[in-house]
Amino acid sequence: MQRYLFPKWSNRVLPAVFFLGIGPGLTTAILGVTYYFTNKHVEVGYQPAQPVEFSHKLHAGDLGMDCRYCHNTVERAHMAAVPPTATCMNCHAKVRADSPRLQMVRDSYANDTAIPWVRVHNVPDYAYFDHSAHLAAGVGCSTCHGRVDQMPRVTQVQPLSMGWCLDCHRDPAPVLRKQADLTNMAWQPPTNVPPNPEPTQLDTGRKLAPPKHCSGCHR
Amino acid sequence: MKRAPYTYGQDLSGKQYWRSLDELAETPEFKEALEREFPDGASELLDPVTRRAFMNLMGATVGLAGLTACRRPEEKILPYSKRPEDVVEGMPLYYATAMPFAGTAIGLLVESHTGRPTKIEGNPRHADSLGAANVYAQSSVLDLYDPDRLTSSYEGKVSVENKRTAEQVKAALSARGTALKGKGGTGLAILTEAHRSPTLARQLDEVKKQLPGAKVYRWDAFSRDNVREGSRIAFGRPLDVSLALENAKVIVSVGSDFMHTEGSPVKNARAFASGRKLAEANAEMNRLYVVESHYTVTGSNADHRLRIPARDVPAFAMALARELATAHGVNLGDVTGAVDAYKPELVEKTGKWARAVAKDLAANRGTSALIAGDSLPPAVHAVVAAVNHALGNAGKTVNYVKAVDESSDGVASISALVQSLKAGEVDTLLILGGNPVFTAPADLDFAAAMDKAAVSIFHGLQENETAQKAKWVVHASHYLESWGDVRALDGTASVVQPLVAPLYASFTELDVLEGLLGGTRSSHELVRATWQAEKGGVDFEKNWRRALHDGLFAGTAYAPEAVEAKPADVAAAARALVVQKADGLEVTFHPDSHAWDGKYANNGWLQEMPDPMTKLTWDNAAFISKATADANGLRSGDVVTLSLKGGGSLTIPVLIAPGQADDSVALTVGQGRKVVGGVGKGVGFDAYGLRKTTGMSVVQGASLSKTGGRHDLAQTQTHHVMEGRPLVRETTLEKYRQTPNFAQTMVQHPPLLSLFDDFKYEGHKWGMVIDLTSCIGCNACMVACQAENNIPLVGKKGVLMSREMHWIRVDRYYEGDIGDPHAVFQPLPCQQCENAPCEQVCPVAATTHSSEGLNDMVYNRCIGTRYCANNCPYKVRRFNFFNYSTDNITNPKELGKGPEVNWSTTREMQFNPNVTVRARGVMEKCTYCVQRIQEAKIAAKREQQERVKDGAVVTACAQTCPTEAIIFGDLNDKGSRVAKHAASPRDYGILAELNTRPRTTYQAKIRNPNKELEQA
Repeated sequence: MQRYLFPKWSNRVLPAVFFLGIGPGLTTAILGVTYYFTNKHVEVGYQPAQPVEFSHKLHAGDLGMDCRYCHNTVERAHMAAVPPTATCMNCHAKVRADSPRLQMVRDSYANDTAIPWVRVHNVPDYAYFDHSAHLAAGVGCSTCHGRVDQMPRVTQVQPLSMGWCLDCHRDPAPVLRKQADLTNMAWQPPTNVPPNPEPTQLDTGRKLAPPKHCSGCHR
Repeated sequence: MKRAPYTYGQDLSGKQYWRSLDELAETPEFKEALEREFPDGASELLDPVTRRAFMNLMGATVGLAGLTACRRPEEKILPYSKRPEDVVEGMPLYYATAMPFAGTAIGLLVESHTGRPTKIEGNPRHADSLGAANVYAQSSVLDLYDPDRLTSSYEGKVSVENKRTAEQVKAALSARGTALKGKGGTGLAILTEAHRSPTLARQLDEVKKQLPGAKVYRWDAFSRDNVREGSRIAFGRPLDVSLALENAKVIVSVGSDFMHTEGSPVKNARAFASGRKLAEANAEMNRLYVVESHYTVTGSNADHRLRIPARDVPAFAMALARELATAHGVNLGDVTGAVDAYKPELVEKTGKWARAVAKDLAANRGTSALIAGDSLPPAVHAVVAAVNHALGNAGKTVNYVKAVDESSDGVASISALVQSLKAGEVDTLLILGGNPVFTAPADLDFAAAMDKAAVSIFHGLQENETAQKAKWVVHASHYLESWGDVRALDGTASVVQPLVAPLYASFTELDVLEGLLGGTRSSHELVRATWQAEKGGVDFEKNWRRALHDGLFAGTAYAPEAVEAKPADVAAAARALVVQKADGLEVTFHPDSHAWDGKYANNGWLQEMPDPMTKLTWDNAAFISKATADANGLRSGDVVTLSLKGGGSLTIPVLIAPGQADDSVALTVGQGRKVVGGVGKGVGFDAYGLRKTTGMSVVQGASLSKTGGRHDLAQTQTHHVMEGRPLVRETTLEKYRQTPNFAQTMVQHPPLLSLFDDFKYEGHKWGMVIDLTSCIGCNACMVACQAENNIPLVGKKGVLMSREMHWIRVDRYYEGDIGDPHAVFQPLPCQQCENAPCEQVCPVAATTHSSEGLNDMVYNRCIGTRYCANNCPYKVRRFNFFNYSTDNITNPKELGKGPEVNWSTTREMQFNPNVTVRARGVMEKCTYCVQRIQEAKIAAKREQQERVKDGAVVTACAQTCPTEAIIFGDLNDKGSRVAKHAASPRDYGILAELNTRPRTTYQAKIRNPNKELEQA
């Protein structure tokens, strides 16, 4: 029986294999996961197919409807609720009342069933985001949702990760707009706003102090 | 103790506090238990999977896990097709309704999330609630979602093949009604609970009109017949007693637990506490004397409590009347002669007591109240009524009001029913609610009598003993899904308004009667019709809507009746009173703190809520005094056979209950249900077998014999012991006036310095103050917290391993003699320390401090090291050893037996959507209801206000507290209630000498003893 399993020259090869092969490979894998498995890469660009081909570009962009016509709870509740079918039927009872693409909407209205929309912007269950608080502070729709008025099918444009949330909470000034501009999709942040960790005065007269502690969002 | 840098100044009165008998005796077992954080074996997995097998499995799981988790699963949004009026998704709505409870009704505001009732609050406009609710009201929402509820009606046994649809039930009822009409209703007997619903009464009248031969009976295991009968003797009318204790300076309870189980408990507790608020140092305080055998919540709040066997309680009342008449010139007329036989020295200690109490009563004419326990004989109630009348209390502190229903709801009524059943006079028995087979007096043998009826129809929420004997089982609607109405004790009428459509197309009592009469009116129409007749006219729609909104019809409370005493009748009754003579042990019967009369036996929140005094969960026991235990050679947990001379025996464990009268055994009825859902199965022992028509509340001639068996009693009291430091601080009113800040100087410690710079709380600074003088120990806060914060149950096994999850617990400390101690309650939520010891040891920063002073707990970061719990001096952190909220939820007792998930979709509906449902392996604790804080802050932001106004945030515990003992708010807002209370000289922090800087502080307890009784 052989005394050693490996020949003697392997003493030099194995460290080389480790340092040149496995080591860098493992490092790359770890770095790859920590970078590419983040929301920024996994979530941004998510664009699921919806049961009804509703185009925000047509309604909010071309027709110029205000966001709050449909998402009318956004200023009162934590949810910017997806509107009830009845809201669609306000117009579509008359407009394109026979379109086959609206069959599901008409069925939903007639049979009192829900249209199973697919959620695009999804924060974890343990994060309690509140739309109304952000609107009251002057954070507009497009800051987080992007140019929805140019999206035929809604896409996630921001990572919605905790780090991304905190970036604004620590320095909200650059993204704040006047209450009148909340749903203005074309609004551009002013350039050259100096970083300002101090409480910001809002146009409503209130001093803004966004929560930076855990229970601000996690309950 | 290894180090003792602090000297604990001797308590002003030199008192020694103890929590359990083991602690007082300093047994080795207790000392060992103290050393450990969790009892033996608490951290070992319960399932038989070995560590090695576990590691193997975990290795494979980790290896495969990463592949599937690149994106979260697709989630659907299902919006309304047509959004109901007033609904804003994500915002709760509140509706007013009322819950019938014992002898009254509690007005409620119920929180509803998109159609699901989730949380119950008191209705501030309702006199019997005043914004508070008790444990039974708080936990009733769980009954709605009980997976063991009847979900269908059955003809015969509850089984799939016997299922009947709603139409079949209606057809059968109407056929039965037609058949009965043929013979003028003869043979129909209807048994209801002690209901207080005007519409149900109207329906029953309608039945009697259309079916003149029909008989209506009422039954409640804890009837108020004796109260009404007492008033009838004293005043000639069967009046009910409604207390107005806010006007009383001296309150004497003779065997009445008026703050917890009798009368209008929530209202009485508030009124009692309002006389003890001590806003300023020279404020006056009321004084409470309690005479009783079993230590009740009311007794534990007494300034003086006299512990005598229940058989002597009537005699004490008589002796008190005699003393008032003879020594203080209270004009009782003929009664004086009738009570002459009752010398104050009847029983040991009573002489001095009767004299002192009589003196105090006589000195406070018109501002005192004498209250007799519901179960005492009518003659005692009559004498007590005569005394109240003679003292000028009637109409001031004790109101005699029209009874909602004057007919019997006790033994008289059910005996009559059984008699006519046995005589074969009943062919159709309709039982509307309740569970008479289980609760009726044992000697009546209701089960056998029920068989005599050709057709028996049971209408109830759950399958129970009665349902099993019935020929038809009709499933009932919960009060949160029914239209109805109910009158409170004082007559205030509320509409019972449904929060949700019936989950299982069930029937209300009104529906059943309507079906029998062949009508088609809905409960809603019937209730409206009742009030149309009462409050009709052009304004009816307005009145109705106002009543739905307010939760009550204004002005429906009965005015206190002007009463004229009839001393001759009272004297006759007093002479006829037969006082029970000592004969071996006596047995007394009480409602169970968990199951009440048995109806809440399947409610897990109530089962796991510790009994206020004994801290017993998931069980009942025979409560005996230490002396009785010693005389019989018994220890807590010994199983005994309790036999009555008149026949009947019960095998039950004993529990040594300090404060229990010697030679007296207190039993609670309601546990030990045979036919019950998964939660109540196998819990406790059925004591109804000993309760007979001849001894419904007290019976003599019992004996105990040891069986040699042992039974595990899951008590929470010996857990979380705090090593004898002055946690509760109390003194007497007199001493308090001399040294108002006594509590703050009780502990001498070195200056409390910190290595770090102090954080400046510039925004809000949330804080809580708990007034120990007001806290009556009723546990309402515990259940409110459980409902608000999605707190899971752990089952009896879990409690035995100290794994109970309540975020706020109510510690009960005994002080004084082991047989006859005082009790002090101390609600203990997380203290939200500014220098929190838990935060410093968390390796992953899962618990950190917020800029508003909250000790935040971040579940999604927690990895479950439990270092924080180990380092918490208050022991308020709770660990999820299992997926308590999802595993085998219908049967918490089986939790942790394996991975089998028995998720109940109905149970899930109760969860508060604003609070995370915690998973296995994370720590949790009181958050000061941070979800409510955030909601209030966001609401303020919407209004563009920088600060939350005082009162906008109320924690769940503070909101439901019947005595307003818990005050929450912003300490930085100098005008806030909490800031004012925190500035009081009575305010102290527990274990503040450890430099934890607790944000929750306590107001020392002040008692108001009578000097004459103090010098014992």
